[in-house]
Amino acid sequence: MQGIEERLAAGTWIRGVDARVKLIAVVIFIINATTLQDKTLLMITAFLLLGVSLLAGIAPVHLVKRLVLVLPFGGVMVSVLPFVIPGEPVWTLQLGVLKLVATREGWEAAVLPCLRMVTAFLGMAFLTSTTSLREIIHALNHLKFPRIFVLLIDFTVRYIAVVIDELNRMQTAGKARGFKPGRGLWDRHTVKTIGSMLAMLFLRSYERAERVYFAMLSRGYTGQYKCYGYCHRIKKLDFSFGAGMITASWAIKIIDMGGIPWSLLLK
Amino acid sequence: MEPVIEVTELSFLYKDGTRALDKCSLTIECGTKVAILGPNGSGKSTLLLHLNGIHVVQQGTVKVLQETVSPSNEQWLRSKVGLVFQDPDDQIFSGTVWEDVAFGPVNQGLRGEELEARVRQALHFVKMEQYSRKVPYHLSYGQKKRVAIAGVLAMNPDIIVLDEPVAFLDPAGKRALFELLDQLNRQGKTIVAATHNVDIAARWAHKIIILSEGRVLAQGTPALLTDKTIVQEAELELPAVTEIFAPFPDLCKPKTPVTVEEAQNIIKQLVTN
Repeated sequence: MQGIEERLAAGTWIRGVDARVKLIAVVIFIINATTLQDKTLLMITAFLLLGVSLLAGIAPVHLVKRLVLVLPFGGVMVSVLPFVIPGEPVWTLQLGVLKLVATREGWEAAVLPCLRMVTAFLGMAFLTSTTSLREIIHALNHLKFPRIFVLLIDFTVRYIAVVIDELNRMQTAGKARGFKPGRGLWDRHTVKTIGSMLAMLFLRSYERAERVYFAMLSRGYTGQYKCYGYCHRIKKLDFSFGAGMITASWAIKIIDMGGIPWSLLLK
Repeated sequence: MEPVIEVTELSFLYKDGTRALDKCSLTIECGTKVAILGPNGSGKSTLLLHLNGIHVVQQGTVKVLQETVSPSNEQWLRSKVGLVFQDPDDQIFSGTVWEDVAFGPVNQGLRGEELEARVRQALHFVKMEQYSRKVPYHLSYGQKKRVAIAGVLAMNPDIIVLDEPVAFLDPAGKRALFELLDQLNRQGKTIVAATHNVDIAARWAHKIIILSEGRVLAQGTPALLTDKTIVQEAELELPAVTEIFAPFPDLCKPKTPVTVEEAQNIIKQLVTN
């Protein structure tokens, strides 16, 4: 069965940090960061996360690849919003008879959510590059996350592999009998074949998933997420990492809420 | 020998109305190697799923180690009867070989040193120790099968049940598997294998149980497989050795050979005479 092979992109020290600590720290960091109002502070937060990610040994290429996923959303926002929100014009684009005017208000409205999105994404990229899915599920279980959610995530991870595996088999079988997709959406045969393949994929995955479940039952599975007993106590490293991340995040948040005026910090 | 599994008049109806078992009765004795033979759809897999408590008994009784099987003792049952599925891909789902073998013992409540020891022992037994940190899907089919068996052995069951153990295995894989099963049997474990391969059943098993359309057609020693009527009724075939000797009834005395060794002995006698 093809599994989701997890090759973590991060270095070693960060992998040693307890998954629970990483999870809590990153979630608090993201919540605080995405509720910031000040663009400069948001930028600082994003750079801070970037710094931590690089320190953790995550390859910049890996981060860039992850960030590409944000492009469709962020890109649309940045390229559309400045032109549709009325206000003070800052830049004009002449496209033949069409004249597009970008406004300062539009730009402001686009940049803030875009920065928030990038920061949140950096946070998630950091977490997933330094912690395996199994560790995250394990951590959720110990953090007393509702059992049903933990099981749902656990099973999703397990069965994605089942579905991918079935899909691969069907594609191979299709190819073996000369099926070549990609002749466009208008090709009746292609659409029909892919359609029935998808339907069969669900049926076959369902049946296989049931066999996997039976096999689990037969080895004493009772519907409870069982910890393998390799949890460790919170060490100094975990504590310093968690405390550092959370303190930094709250410090920025308090400055943003106006607790400490900028001018004081710059004096 | 005392029976470890007693099935009495077991019937099972699937939700879609298919009758998979129809008043099926059989006995399996302690420490024996038993082959359950039957064509596809004869109810072999359904029967095996009852032995492990996956299918709940609808009609009839199933007794394992003198205890009547019911949903209330299914956890106990699963620690006594280990079920190895036909396709190891159905059984192996964890990220590493080690984790997968540990799945059963963890469900039994084992942790720490004890868990480590159980997993190590099971992997050592199937000669897969050096693969413990590997991702299972990179392994060959035969290796996966061995991991699947280790996953069951780690639970330390008294009875090991295998569904089509040799399906898709190459000759070397088959040989290794049967050596493993014989070794387990010598340790006192009862081994039950469902198959439609008459040659393997004839060569390996102490006892043969033939299923047809959800009923037990016959049970006894491998010599049963020389009975043409039974074999035909069960939609099986004669073992290859028996088929060769069938046209020569004079050579089949005192009994028709079913295994290669028996045939070799007859030929040796012929040559020396």
